[in-house]
Amino acid sequence: MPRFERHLPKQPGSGERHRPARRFALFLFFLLLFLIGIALGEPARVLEQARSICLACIGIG
Amino acid sequence: MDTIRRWVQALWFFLANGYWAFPFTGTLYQGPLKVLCSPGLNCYSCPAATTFCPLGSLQQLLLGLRLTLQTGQHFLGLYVLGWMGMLGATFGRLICGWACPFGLLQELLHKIPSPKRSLWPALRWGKYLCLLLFVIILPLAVVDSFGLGAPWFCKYLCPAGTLEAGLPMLALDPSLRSLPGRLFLFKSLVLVVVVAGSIVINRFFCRTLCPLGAFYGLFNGKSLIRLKFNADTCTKCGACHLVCPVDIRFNESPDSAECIGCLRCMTRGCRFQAIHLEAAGLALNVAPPPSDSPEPHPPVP
Repeated sequence: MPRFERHLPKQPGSGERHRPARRFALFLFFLLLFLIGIALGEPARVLEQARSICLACIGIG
Repeated sequence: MDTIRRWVQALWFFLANGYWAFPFTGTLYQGPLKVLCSPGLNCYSCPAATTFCPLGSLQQLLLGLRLTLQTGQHFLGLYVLGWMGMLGATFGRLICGWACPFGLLQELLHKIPSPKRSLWPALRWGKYLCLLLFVIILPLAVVDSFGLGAPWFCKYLCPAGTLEAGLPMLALDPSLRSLPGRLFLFKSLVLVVVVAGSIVINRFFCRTLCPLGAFYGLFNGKSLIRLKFNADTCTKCGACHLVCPVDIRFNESPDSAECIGCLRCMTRGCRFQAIHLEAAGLALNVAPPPSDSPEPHPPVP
């Protein structure tokens, strides 16, 4: 890259600082968290909570 | 595009609230679909809800974190955080504009004829405060003698819970009607303020208090599907400012965390192909041809 191009003002929204590979990496990071959560057995806990009415949560209890 | 978006919003509303047998059974849905995450804000104590609310479930896991760690379980909330992150990393706040039932309700409320106002910009920080304080810090830090916290956002603020779960459950179950006290009164007041605010200010709750919107907003500009701005073709005419329902100057801040991805700036504002939808780096051309667009607006100084 010619040296002078480094000093060009950045156009708003050129968006190249978040290349697709980085965006995939972000997605994969959360996919990893999701899979760890499954391995820890969290879905059963979430399902158990979601199946019951939490009166305190909705301001009644 | 607005009509398509309204249909998609309605579809998501019914997908997230698909259990219409509740008036006959008197109970909420308890099937296996509740292991799936609702992309938008939708209370899982709503009798019709078929999915779990990410905010409610995250708080439930965080408030019991100390207890579960003591018992050798490691429920850290990663499953819920993973769901939220995958949705955010894919769609950003497009979810708010296309798949949130409470967002749809606010848009319909804003159609009620009334004087319309802009939001005081400082109020936008409220949703980040709610996310940090009411969803994460307080459920983790304020615990009772058993080591259990409380779902602070759901319990003290969430108007979706009052509307979708509190009021319907009181209507369905007469035995609950003696229970509401000052807390329910306060939450009802919050709901009234949000409803009144939404009539006057577009997406009032999303922009001021919604922690889920705050979370998804962190991904705007970094998500796989997003709006992209082309500065080379922008004429700075200001058409994108005029059509934006959440008062963003898109050409000045294209990655704004406030953008709900309604695509109006692209389909109804810009005539110069300066805004387009991008999926994983590939441009998707869903904007109408220039001949279908309205007349150009005079340049905004």
